[in-house]
Amino acid sequence: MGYKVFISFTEADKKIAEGLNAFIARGFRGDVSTYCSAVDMRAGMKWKEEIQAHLNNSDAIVCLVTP
Amino acid sequence: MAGKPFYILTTPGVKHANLVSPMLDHNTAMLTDGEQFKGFVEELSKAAGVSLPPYQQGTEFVEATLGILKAEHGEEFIQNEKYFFEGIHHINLPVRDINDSIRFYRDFLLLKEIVRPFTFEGAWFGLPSGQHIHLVEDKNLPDRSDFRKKENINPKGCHFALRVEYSRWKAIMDELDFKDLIPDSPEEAVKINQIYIFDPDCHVIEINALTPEQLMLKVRENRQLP
Repeated sequence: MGYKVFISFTEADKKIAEGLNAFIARGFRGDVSTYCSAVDMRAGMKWKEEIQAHLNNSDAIVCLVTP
Repeated sequence: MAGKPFYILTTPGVKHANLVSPMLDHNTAMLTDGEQFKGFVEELSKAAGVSLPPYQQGTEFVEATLGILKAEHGEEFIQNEKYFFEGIHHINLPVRDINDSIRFYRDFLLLKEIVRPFTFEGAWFGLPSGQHIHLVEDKNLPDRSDFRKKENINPKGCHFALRVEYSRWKAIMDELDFKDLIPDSPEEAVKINQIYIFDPDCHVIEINALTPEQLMLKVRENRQLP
């Protein structure tokens, strides 16, 4: 099990969140995995439970803050 | 979330990210600043116990983020963040009698006195913006207690300005019976509600306010208002 990072963002920052997600996944070559709902959330999922579970299971949290 | 490394990544325009979550121990980095982003990546790799990604990839991500932000908000949005200094930290005013001045700034202007790390005579006052007004006593200053009789305030001279919320501005005007100084058309964006006063040492202080209409223009339309 690699180190897990939860990426928190708002809809307006979706592109940046996706970019950050790709950078961490590629850059750390799988040693660090991410959860980013922009990429990992699928239609029909129970989003609240899904997010809560990944938040609880993450090792670190990255929060994108914009004006 | 307690105990987990918590990173806040900001974009230009975010002024107080450190206040976002004061209960959590966190690191803050600007996404558009290559060095700060590199710092975040280094922290993350240290926390994860893994090796650093190639530096080039971080640079590419920062460049891509800059591109997204420029496309969405324009070049100026980014350029505004290029200022070297963050802001004015404090102004320091020499005063003849510190107790008189404290009464003026604390009891008349209702500024909040804050802890001061020095023992020589003086006082600090804090503002919500994080800026301070520092007073330092100098008993050798000339006594200017009769200055009001001799001098007129020159609004173009050296002074500092305090911004006040409009409802409080109106309360000041009511209290001081300065109603005639309120512009006839407060909706007019270019007009500023402002008055000038002396402190006990003849330092000139401007007090000003934006009307709710002016504030709206400034925030929503980015109008160049004071």
